[in-house]
Amino acid sequence: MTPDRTPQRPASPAPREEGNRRVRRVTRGVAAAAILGTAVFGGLAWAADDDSGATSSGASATSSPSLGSFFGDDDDDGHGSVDQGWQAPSATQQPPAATSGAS
Amino acid sequence: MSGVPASVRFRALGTTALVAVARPGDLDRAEEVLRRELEAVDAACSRFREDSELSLLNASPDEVVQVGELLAEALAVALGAAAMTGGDVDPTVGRAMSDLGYDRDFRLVERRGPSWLVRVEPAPGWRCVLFDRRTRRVRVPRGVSLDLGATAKALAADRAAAAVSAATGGGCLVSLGGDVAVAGPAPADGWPVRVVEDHRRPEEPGDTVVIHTGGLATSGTTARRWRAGGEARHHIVDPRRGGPASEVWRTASVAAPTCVRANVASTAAIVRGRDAAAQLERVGLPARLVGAGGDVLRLGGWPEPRE
Repeated sequence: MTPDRTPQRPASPAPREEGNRRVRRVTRGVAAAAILGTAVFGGLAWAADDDSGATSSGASATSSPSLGSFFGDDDDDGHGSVDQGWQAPSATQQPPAATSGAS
Repeated sequence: MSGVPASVRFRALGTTALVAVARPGDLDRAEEVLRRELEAVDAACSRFREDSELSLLNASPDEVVQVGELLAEALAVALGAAAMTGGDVDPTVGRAMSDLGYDRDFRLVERRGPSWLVRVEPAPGWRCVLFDRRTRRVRVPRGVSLDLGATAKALAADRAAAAVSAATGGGCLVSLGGDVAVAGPAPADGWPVRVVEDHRRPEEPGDTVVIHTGGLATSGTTARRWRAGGEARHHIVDPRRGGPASEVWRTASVAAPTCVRANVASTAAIVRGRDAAAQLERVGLPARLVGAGGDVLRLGGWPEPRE
């Protein structure tokens, strides 16, 4: 077993575009509402104010709020739809490679 | 091939990380890739690091912030999970978690003692978070704190397994505190996984199952428990109440095509309580539920244990 390693900042910290024309600094209230647009993920996407004119690419998840839809044919979590090659687990008496339990 | 040729484990993300490889010669490379991936996830998504990207976002209320690609992916997964579970798995529980006393690494929570006063209020709800996945811009309202704990670990397992398999060209299993993902060619007999209530105690009663693809996750109320405000608390918050979910099921294990999906379903099952079994049956995911009294319910094709 190797010792814990102190996590490091990523090499490229997340950019914050304060001052960039494409990102409008929102304070609160009316100012926020002025730049918000299409419903997405139940939250809101920003109205287009960049060169592409596009709004959010998020899925229209608000129309399918059940757990069932999460595991249907939609690809809303970005991890592929239900895999055609996926196999359900089967019982075994092999020694385990890993343990799944609450943590 | 039977069993697992090689594996290594270490502490990461406040829990135990493990990578197993189908070809022993891949182990060093696999560990390197896993460590790098987990460092990136921790730096982006940790609620307990003041310098994490998530902490910086939470500390910028009402501001539009452009986040990095990894945090954007984690936010998309978390908000997607909230949408698809109707808000049962909701990332806006950050403040509720803190109010319950879980505002630091869990080892420090345990040491604080039971006199901590708690406040229980409903989570603000995921709909208040404004997020554009394409531009990676996000706005978190004042008073809202995001916690990605319900999905980020599973996402990290999926990402790490894919990255290890891509780097080595071989099959692997990654487990992060019991959230398991596999990728690449599995051993001939698959990846055997012990399913119990606490991932640190594989010797306790449970089932051993084989998976070949996808993921397997367990959520439960028996781990990460503490006392605060005179009552026992656990880390799975019912967003609608802001307090710990009622303990109809003390453990839920689910297998799915990805670890994220398995984890969202298992966490939602704990929150949903009595309704969970029927809903899991409907979506057809194999699941193993352990009731508050220890009774075990296997459904959705979850295999009966071999004698």
